[in-house]
Amino acid sequence: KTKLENNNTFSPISPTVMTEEFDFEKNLALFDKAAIFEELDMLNGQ
Amino acid sequence: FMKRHLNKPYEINLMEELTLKGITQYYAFVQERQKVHCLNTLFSKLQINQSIIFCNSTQRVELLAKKITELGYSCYYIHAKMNQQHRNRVFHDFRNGACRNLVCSDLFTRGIDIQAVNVVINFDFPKMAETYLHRIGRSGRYGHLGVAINLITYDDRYNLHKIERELDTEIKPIPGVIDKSLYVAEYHSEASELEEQA
Repeated sequence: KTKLENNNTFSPISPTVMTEEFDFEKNLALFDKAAIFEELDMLNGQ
Repeated sequence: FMKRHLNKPYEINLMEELTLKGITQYYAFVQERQKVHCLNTLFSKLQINQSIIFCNSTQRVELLAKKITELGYSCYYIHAKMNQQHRNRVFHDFRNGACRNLVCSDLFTRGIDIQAVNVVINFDFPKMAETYLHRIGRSGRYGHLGVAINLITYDDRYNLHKIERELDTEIKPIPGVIDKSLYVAEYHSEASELEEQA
């Protein structure tokens, strides 16, 4: 599992991608923190 | 023991309590394979005086340090499997400003108090609240100013939730532009002067 994760993280990235800025906004939109936290709070019985 | 052997002792807490006060905490949502790209963008966008970048294993510290060097940034690294003498040497040189970035694993048990460090990046998000506090927290002796940026994957969601709740803190989504007065000393003093005048 560790090796797989390291491969995922550190395998080469295409130079064209690296010259572009990482799109923070687009990625943040993929993670609904409020909804996830609400669900986890419910699971914890709060 | 204390009552029998110590006569009216003064009690001093040598472990000054760590605080998150003055540190603005953000998260960026990423996939594992996007982390290096994300870090590269952070390096180009942030005004880093000195930074510390944390990984969750010694192997990842070495792999990341190699990547950062390939990207054209200078960095030192230290982790738990290096001998103490070598670690001390690197840390000493970093503290003296010989290098801008330090990649490391969790080997500081009392938090890091280097004034010049204004950016801390959790390349890997920790599992325990205590670890998070040791990485990000400051002893509060100085009104320390800084930003902490956490790279969060979908698998980190449980730990993110647990750590925010346990430390009663909030880690906010990273904004498009990070206000320099939150972590760059010159800008901070200018901003507070303006506030005083207003």
